[in-house]
Amino acid sequence: MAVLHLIFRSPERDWDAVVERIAPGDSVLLLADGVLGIQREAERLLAKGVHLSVLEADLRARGFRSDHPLIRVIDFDGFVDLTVAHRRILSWK
Amino acid sequence: MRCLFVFRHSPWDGSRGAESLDLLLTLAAFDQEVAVLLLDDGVWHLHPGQSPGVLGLRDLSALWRNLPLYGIGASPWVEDESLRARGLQDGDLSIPVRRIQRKRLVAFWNRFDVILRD
Repeated sequence: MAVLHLIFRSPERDWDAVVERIAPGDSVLLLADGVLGIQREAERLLAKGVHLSVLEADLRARGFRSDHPLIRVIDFDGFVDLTVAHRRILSWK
Repeated sequence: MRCLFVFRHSPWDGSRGAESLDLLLTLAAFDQEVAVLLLDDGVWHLHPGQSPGVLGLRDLSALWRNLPLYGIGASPWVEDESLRARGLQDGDLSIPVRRIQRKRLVAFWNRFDVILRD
């Protein structure tokens, strides 16, 4: 079963190291300042073949929205569902 | 159940390191199969010659040296890139380690049922 990666950190802070540790088929949730990565980093993640989600509250709080067909915008219930669905979770703060 | 414990924070980050090691040793005490991986600033746990008592922090180095006594016989894994980015080599570390390249981590995660992190 795939790993769930929670990316909290802004893309200004060494996303390369994080992205290199993510396998195709893994799930990635952008939250906190990690949602800022949706602008320039989303395509790189999607090209890796990950399942990409973003936490709606953190996105809206920062004045962003997404209608990208491959990015799931989820609420806190969705966040809980994701964490329940994965036994292996890594946080990148 | 195979567990992986990932340390990513320096041991001087308040009580985080001590609490994480306590959890790690508790898991091992209950006969769980636990492996350890040090990433990013987590590699500083194995920096020799620390005196964390100066800051009022617990000295964890004895715990790291004695992991086999607690049932964690296999050496911790350490990411090559994390060591190199900090100017460290495995010969500089306080205990023997197993090195792993960052690109190998993507498959490494799959060896474990559960991942815990500090």
